[in-house]
Amino acid sequence: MRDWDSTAEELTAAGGHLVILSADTPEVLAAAVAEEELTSPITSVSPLLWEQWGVANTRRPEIPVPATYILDEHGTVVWAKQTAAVSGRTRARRVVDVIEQLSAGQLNAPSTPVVEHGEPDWDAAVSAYGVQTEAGTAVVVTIADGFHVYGRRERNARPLQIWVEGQQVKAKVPPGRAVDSVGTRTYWLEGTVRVEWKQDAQAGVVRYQACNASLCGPPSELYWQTE
Amino acid sequence: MWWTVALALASGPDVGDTFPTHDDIALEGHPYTVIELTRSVDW
Repeated sequence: MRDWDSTAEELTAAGGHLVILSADTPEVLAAAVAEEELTSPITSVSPLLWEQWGVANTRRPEIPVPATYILDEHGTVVWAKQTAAVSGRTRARRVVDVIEQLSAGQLNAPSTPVVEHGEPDWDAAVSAYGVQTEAGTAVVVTIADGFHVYGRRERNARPLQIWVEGQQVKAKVPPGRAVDSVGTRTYWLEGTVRVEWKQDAQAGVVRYQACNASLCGPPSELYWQTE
Repeated sequence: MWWTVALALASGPDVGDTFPTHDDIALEGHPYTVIELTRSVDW
């Protein structure tokens, strides 16, 4: 929300007028606005609205998907972005840039649709195979460029885990690189990660959650076996 | 949790659609109106 507050003057100067619609109750909103000293216009709306507008979260219909729309003076949508995760929300600075482009005729609306949404190929984000070692077993997890999974210090998303025959093994999962995202500290694993433990195993499951810079896939499982 | 995801994105208004009317959305006098949908103000 502070993102919008800090960009309010630029947005107004560009010709933009902001309306934030929240699933929070009026009481929660009022308390948050007072406590955080927020200045952007925020309105509480009935959760029923999300379903009526077709923007309800498919798993939690009482909240909307994070979405930003730019309307022209006739109420026509000239730019839209929905994201699957809050972390992919449109930055206020990006909205200002888009409005400036629209005003300059660099984006033709609505004849040239500008919709920024889509779902990454989560299946291609992570692959894994096993290796027999002198001490036991190792699983080599490869995380595709642009994606990350989470290390053992992660407390919000699912950290990387190795499971064999229905039980999590005591493997040395790296802690992850600390990254601050949306006010939360997360711990990323990128590239190739080798996880070892002192037991023989031929196959199992990697449990993880993959994200890219703006979106997160669901907690997932991936079968692995030794080569 | 902040990372909770909806695998299928909502359909919602698209470019070229007329955005649904709402009492708190006043278009008059504004070249562009930005509508931000958020589940919570805690960000």
